[in-house]
Amino acid sequence: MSIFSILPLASLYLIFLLENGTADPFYQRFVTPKQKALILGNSKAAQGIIPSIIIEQLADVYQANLYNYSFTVYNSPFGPAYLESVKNKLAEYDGKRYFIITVDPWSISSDINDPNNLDKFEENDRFISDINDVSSNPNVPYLLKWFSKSYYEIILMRSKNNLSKLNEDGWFMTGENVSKNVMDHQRKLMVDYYTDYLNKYSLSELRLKYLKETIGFLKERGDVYLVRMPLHTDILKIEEQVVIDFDQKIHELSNLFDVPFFDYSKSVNVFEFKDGLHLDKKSAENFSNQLVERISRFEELKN
Amino acid sequence: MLFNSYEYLIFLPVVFLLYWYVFSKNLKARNLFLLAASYLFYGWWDWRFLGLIALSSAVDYWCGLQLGPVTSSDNRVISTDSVVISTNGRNPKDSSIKEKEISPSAGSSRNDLNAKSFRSAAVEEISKSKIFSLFNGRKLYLTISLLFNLGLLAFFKYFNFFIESTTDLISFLGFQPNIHTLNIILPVGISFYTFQTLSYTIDAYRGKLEPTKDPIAFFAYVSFFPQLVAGPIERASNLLPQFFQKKSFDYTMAMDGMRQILWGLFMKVVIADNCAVFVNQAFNNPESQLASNLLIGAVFFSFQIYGDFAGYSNIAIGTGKLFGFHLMQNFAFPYFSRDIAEFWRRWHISLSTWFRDYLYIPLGGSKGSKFQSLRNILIIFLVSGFWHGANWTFIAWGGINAVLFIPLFWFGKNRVHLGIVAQNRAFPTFYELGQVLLTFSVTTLAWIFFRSPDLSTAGTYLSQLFSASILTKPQMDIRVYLFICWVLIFIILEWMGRREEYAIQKMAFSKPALIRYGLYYGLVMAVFLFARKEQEFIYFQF
Repeated sequence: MSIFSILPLASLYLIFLLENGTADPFYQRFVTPKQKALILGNSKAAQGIIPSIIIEQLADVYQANLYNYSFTVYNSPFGPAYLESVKNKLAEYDGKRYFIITVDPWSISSDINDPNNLDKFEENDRFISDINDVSSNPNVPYLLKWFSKSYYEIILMRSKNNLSKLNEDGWFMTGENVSKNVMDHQRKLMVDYYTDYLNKYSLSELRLKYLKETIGFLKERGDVYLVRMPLHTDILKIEEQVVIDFDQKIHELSNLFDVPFFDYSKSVNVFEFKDGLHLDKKSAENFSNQLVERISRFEELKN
Repeated sequence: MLFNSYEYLIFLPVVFLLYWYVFSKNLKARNLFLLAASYLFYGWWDWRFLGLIALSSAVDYWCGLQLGPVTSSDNRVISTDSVVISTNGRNPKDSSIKEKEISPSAGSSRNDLNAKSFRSAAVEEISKSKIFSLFNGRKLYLTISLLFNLGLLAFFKYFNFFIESTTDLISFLGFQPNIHTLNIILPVGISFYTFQTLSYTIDAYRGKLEPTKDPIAFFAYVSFFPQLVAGPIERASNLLPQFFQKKSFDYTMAMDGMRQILWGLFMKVVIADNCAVFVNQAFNNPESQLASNLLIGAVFFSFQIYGDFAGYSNIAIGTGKLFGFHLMQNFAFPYFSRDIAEFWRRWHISLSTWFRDYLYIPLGGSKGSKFQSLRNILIIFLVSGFWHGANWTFIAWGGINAVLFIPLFWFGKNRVHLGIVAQNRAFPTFYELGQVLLTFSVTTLAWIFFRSPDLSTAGTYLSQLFSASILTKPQMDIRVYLFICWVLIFIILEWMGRREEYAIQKMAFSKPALIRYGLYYGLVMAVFLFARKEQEFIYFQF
């Protein structure tokens, strides 16, 4: 009887260990060890910046491994929950390290009536607030409460040659490149979706304060690069209406902390987007290469 | 609190241990503890509705007390020949007339005329007392209970439906009504516990049970957490006396309960919740689906609703066994029925028998003319449909089942299949198999109305289902093939265990322990691996 009680739990434990980033888009970020260097932001960064490319090309400057710790606009807007999670994920490290913080108007906005009411922040009821232990394998609290699929999918998705996968470096790879028609269709859907959002979202001074706090916290521990991800002009037009003086606010922060701000939002016709918002796989590689070049140049100029 | 939630996984063992190790010695303390646990269980959803269930319990407890104890004069028949006239009351002071002996021989004259006039006087007096007693005496308390409980249902469940239907009708007549609906939240399980308490007062009124003077036992009976929110709808005559019995832990019964809980979880979590994914796709957008996809969607819904509801009942009954309580069987392998009459004897038994005892028989049942009987059948099916929800789709579902049932009744074939199919054989005959498949098919077609959000969607679903694309290969994800396999395994296990209370009750008992525990291990793993995020039980909305 006691063996019977243990056997299912032991089997389940083994199955959890099989999860390799194909069944859940976030789980691996909570089972990997604490990290020395991080990429922060929402899904644009999660899908658009490939740490392995940056690590390889910046190996002479930084020895610390870079990890993509970006989630989604619902889970990781700037605020106390995300900052706490970042602190939990950050390893102690004495060497030279760096942090890429991607920014956009959504990440410092809120869709609640009072955008500065901390108690009502959307992420309070999401995993980013709930999961304090972000480096245990298996991560039982996440698996019990937040795992997005049934556990059998761990086996099913692993056995399939899945096109979407959360890689070991935290980069979320989403499928092969799709046709232009599909991209256009998806972009139109996103435009409708975000236009609707436009009426609900407004700047949160409190989130802006937490962005400031996040930059300050990381600046004390390494080099910080502020980055605005590329996006399609149709989406950019909407974003520009969310926080009208967004660029000015970020430039002010850049000056305040003396950190560079690389703005790719106006890089029109350079990249391909799956939906106007998220870079496709090839463009993610392309963008990561451009970003690393820019960081390298900046570091060369600095020295 | 959901049965398939982690909260319940903690709640159940804690309550179980406290029940047997701390409170089992003292009956009052035990019932009080069960009451507190049940209120915690119910309040986990929304504590505001605890007041409602407490009020419902209080009203029926009070009505029960007023109805008084059962005496030897109950159920006496009014007869002018047998000369005993009862005011239908146990407490004479509540009645408009006193119980008295009226006999033709009691008069001064023995001639016929005198006897006739005496009879007509007696009949007149009875008629007066009948009208008067509607709002007086024992009937008053029954009326209060009926009005209160049905009023609760009418307000919380049907108010908006009546308003919307009236608005639609007025609009149809060319007027522009300005009627507003209310933002009413349906309290979980209201249809179940109101029916349960109603059965108590009706049975007390009929003298079938002794109303209790113990409020804790009564409140615990109404709110008994295993079956509080989705049944089985227990009769007080079965469940209430169990709150007065001393109980000692019975290992065999507890293990039986554990097996039943495991089977219920498998039905809910593996079968119902996973079928639901494909069902939702089919029903959300039937006009753009292949007929072959819709066919699978409809069949999957048959298993979803069965797995969901019978799964809940199994968990409820199994949990009851853990605490030494016997709850009634609610499902008896309905999809192995050979005709629709048999299906209705095997599906949601506690509700079917409730309607039979408290609606069908009082209406006259099958005692009157054939047409009266048909009327009664139609009423019971329509009301049963309406009980499920305030939507015309449920009424249509009830109506379709009535239409399927009536021919059997008309030709006297509604009680042909009383035992389980292939009782003494491993397999059915081809004829029986055909009957089972036909019954399942018509049931599945009726379920389309039950699942559809409105009649128009049901119509679209049916017209699309019977289109040429029925022969096209369905467009399905690999998961759907996986769930088809699970449904097939489920059918096989149900078939193997069809003679028991639930499928795995005695399964593999004659086999080595390794095989038996292997079966349990497989089911436990299936529950863990195939569980989706806590999915509510469909019947909670009813």
